Amino acid sequence: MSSPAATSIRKPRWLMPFGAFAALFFIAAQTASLMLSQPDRDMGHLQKIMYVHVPSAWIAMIAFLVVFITSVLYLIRRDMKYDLLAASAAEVGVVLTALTLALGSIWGRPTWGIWWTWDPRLTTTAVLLLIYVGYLALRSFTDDEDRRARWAAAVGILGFLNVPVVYMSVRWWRTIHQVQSTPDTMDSFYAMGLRLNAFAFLFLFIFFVGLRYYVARLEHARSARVEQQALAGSEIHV
Amino acid sequence: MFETDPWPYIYAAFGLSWGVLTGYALLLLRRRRSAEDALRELGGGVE
Repeated sequence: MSSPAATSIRKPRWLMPFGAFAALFFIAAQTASLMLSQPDRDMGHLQKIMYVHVPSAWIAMIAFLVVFITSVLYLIRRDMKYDLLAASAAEVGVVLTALTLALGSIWGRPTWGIWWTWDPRLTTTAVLLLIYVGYLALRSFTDDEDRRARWAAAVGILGFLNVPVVYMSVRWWRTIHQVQSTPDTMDSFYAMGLRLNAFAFLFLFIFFVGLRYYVARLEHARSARVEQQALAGSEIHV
Repeated sequence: MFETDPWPYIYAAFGLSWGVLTGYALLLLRRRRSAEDALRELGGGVE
């Protein structure tokens, strides 16, 4: 059984200052990478797109790792906060995965000559997006919150199986998508730029999940309040 | 090096990223305000 929902929610005081910091860090990291990075030998200036495409993909995978961990925790402890946290991370992960695909497409057109191809990396990433869109859709299929949380946790755990497949797809199959770069295979400035922007996306991710989780708690508390008042026979104007 | 002018693609990529992330942040902030108001209307508290 889930724990009873509180009808009074504490506002996370750290959230908005952290959001301001994340926004400033993001602007600084993006501007520096855009203005200062030199053209790559092969890709020319197009390599700048890596400073949005790659961090977005990395942090999307972290988002789905959070969904996986919190889904497992929900099934063990049956505490609704883990379910709400999983749903929050899944929503942010979907936004980042959709962005990753769109950015890859923008990079692919001048580089490969095509907007899209059914390449293993692209296809597994599209499947990943569909799994978590399905996860979010599934949550609206039932009003029973325990059942919803159990179903969602199952999808959150099983869906995560596709994340290592996405990561390894460039090594397991023939693909036109390049394999993962390492600091040894790229210029140190590019590696620094990627790290900086990965942190920028990570900070935004923490802010987004924190804010989405707060909204989810508010909505959950509201539902509990409506239920309480209905049981008490009060008149409710929604 | 590619002969295609890269800048329209670079601007499109950064513009899309900034637009999506800003839009999502604004959407969440609006949802937060609505959710806080809805809870207060029902007598719930936001401390």
